[in-house]
Amino acid sequence: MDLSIFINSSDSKVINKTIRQIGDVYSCSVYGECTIKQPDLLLTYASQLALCNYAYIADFGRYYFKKDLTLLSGGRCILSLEVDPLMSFAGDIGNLNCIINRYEKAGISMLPDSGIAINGNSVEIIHFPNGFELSNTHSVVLGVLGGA
Amino acid sequence: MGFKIRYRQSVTEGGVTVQDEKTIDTFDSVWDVSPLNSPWANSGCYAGAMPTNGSDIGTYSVATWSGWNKDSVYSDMRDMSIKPYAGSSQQNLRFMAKYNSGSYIVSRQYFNWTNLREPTVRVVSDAIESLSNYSEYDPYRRQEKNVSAGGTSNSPLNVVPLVSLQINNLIFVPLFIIKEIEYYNYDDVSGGYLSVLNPSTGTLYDWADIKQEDKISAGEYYDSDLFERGWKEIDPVNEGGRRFRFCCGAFLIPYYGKCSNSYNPLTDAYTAGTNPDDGKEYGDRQVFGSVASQTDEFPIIGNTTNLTRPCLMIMTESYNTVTGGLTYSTPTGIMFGNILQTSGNVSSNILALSPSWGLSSNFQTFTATTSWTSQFFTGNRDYSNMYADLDPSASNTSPDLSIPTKIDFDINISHLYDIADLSSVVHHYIPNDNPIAFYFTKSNRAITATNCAFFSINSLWHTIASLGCYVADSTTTAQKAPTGYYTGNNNHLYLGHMDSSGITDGVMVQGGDIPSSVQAGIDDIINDTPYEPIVPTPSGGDDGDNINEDGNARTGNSIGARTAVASFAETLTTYYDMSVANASSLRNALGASATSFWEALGTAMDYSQYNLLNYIISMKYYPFQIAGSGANLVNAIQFGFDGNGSLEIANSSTYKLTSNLLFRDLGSLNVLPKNGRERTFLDFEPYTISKIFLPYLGVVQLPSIDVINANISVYAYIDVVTGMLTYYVDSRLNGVTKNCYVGTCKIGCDLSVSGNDILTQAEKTSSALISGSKTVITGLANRTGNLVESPARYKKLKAGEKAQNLSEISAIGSLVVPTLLDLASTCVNVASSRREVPSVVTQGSESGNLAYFNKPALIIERPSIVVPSSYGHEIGYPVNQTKTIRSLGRGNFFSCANPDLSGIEATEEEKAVIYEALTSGVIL
Repeated sequence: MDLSIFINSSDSKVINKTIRQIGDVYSCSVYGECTIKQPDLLLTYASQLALCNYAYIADFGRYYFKKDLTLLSGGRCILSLEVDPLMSFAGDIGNLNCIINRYEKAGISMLPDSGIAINGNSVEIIHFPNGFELSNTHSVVLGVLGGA
Repeated sequence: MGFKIRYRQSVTEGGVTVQDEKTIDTFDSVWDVSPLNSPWANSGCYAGAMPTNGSDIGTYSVATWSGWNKDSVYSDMRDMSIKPYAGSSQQNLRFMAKYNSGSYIVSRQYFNWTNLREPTVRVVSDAIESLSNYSEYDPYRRQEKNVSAGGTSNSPLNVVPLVSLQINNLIFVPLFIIKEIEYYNYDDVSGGYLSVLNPSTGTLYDWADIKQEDKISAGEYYDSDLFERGWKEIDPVNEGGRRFRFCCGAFLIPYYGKCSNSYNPLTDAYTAGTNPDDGKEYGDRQVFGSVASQTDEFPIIGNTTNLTRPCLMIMTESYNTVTGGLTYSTPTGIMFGNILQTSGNVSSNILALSPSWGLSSNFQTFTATTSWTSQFFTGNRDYSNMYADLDPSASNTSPDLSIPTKIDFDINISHLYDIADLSSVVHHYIPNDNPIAFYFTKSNRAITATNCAFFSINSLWHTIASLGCYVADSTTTAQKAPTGYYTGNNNHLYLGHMDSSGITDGVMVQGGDIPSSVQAGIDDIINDTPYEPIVPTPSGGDDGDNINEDGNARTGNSIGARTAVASFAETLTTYYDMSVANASSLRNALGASATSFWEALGTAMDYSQYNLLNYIISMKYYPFQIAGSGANLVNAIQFGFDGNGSLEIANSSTYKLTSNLLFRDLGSLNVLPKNGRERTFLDFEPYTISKIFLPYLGVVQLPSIDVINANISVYAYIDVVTGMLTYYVDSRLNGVTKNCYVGTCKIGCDLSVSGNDILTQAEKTSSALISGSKTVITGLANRTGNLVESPARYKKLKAGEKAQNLSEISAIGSLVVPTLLDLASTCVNVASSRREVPSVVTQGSESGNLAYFNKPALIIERPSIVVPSSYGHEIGYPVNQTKTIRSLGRGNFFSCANPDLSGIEATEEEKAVIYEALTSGVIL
């Protein structure tokens, strides 16, 4: 089984991670009971194995986070991995047609966003152009019968 | 964050020439650097790898710098160094640095160095400005799509100043207005690559690539397909709603102060001035007051004397970037400041429009002078330059910027790739009056109407950039266009085109009114259909947009003009409006001026006999004048009916009211949304609270959905019969007028004088007099204190006879009249003392007795929000749109709602992880 190891500089929630391969392709074998989700690989120790934090197993077609590295006698080591479904299926995920709830490049819209904090408010007073006269010319309206 | 500018200059001291290093600080970023003498011909800005921050330019060899590319520009705001082109004899450098005003450029400094020696000028940044800063959320701007091709990726500064040119106290830099561009950046333009998308191939080019591909050679104008001249007709619906953006590269900024530096591009002569900076900066001045202050702000240098006021100018011709040198064409740009004078055959093409002049048909032609030789503007071209003189009259000391100023630009399309109209209509001028397309926008604002910021670069930039427009060749298409970018209260689309005489066929149509706020800045999400239109068609009715969707359209689109609905015609009553002073005259006329008991008694008996008091129905006091213009001035009050014992008492300035309902239009206001352009959720409750103060009624809350971005009108009705004041507050939004508030209060203050009261007292008085009750007489005598007046003053009026003066009616019984008039007088006095604060009965208001302001007022409480700069990347903004994840762009944060993971060939456990990640938020 071939193993490629990488330095992953992206956050785990990044789908398309930025990875840089280090070392060559390593030959390894499974250690104990091996699952696709969390394989433990037995291989000859190399310094890059300690440096890497990411791996790819071509036989599984998946990318993995490095969980741990256990050194054994005789120059061997156990590399414990955990699958990264986001990166492993990044292509398929990219093709998904989904309802986007939130997006980085959107901006404030008509949709309420409870996450936006309100820091006080401002009061704007706008007078209408017309009004009642405030002069001394007040009115007394006298109603009478007749007067026609 | 800032830059320090260091330069070395050869200085001769004691016969020894040394390199003197000087430092100028501190600027926010570099604006432009180019050689003075021959722009872009022999040198340019360094476009290669940037020197290491803090390193000295001296570590770079001449060979290194020989790679300067005149077609490249400095696009990042890191450290940079500049120098003349190696081997060139040009030793003068111009350097323009900028200050930031918010996120915008306010250019200020402009340096010219002479005797520069290599290394020449170095700009040292305090820190490399993080490009991410430019993606910070700013509620007042839209987010842009990243432009990453070429050069410094993700730089938001993707426009290129071609050339800057200093002319006297003005600094020109080009204005790019480029159509057929999928994205734009308008927030900051201090240099950078101009990246455009070829619509036919989808290929993204940066500036340099375009040039290489198109093989622009000397003498040619830049004229690629990407900048095709003419208009591309696009159906915004069927073609996916491609949005055209204005990409404005730079603008012309007046050099503040009284610097007398001058540069003549024709003679290539530069004259250094003094006092290059008086410590002020452009951004300090946004209000133009007196002419004197304008002169101070924008000093007239040289012979540019015929225009002395701040003006806005847009030139439409691009600069020849290749030939450079003396073969100037008109530099494209916007000028704030005094208009250049022109001469020769160009003058007839230079038009000016003043907002105070009104319509575009009032274009004015400036008088040419001879200061500037004509080459600067001439050529066999109709430049159709447009000047907008913002203060054309010396007597008009300040343009009325409280009113959205409409400025129409007359643009010759053959020399312009696009146009940016800063007013309600985006026009373009089609040669030969052959309209091939219409350009339209929903925006109807001028640069700004707020805070007199007409000259604010910020506002200008916002406005230009906010004019997202579509092009279509039919009204139908326009009506269906998913527009939504509007800033004023009028959200109609405008269609029209202009010829050189102004608007010829501008029409207004109703747009689709599909809210596009969600899609703001996300070009390819706009295809999603919103859940429902903003103005749903009501069942069985119409949405008031004058489009008969369901066959049940009602006439008109509003609730109709409010007018009086009742009349006194053919009724038995008459209402007279008197002033308080005239009420006192009436009081005297009714006997208060009687000088004796007998005189008063006689009048009282007359009125008793003719039952005059029986005719009085009511008397109400109003704290303002009821009768307005057009009221029927009668100067007399008539009791009863002609020919049947009526009595008319003269009373000047008395109006006979013809209707019981008196109407007052208290005006209307436009209420802008918080961001000045479009409504967001922040414009509604509970974030924005809208209230209105109504005189005499109080403060009531209005639904913000009816207020924000709407035109609010207030009407008042006074019912003189009941004394009730009724307010109607109408809201006009999206072409529909609706009433959003009705409130009533009692404004007419009863004077407690009724016909019954008077009659009762009058009857009692008559009875007492007839019976000869001494008690009553004694009482009257005691009250008046006057029993000896001659009865000869009696004058009895016959039926139908009218009293002509006060003396004829001055005799009145001292029992009746004092009682009546004292009561009336007391009421008047009480009412007068209360004046603006009468006792009112309010309905639905928070407070009564309010008339401290005579005008209604809107009280808008808007929220101040705090949005972390990383909000978009780590939390994201609500979108609620269907989208292919891939199209969201790598590196962008997003989250999904209940994604369907069909097609992903992963285990269920892995799918669960993916599902959780997508719903909680991931970065593509």
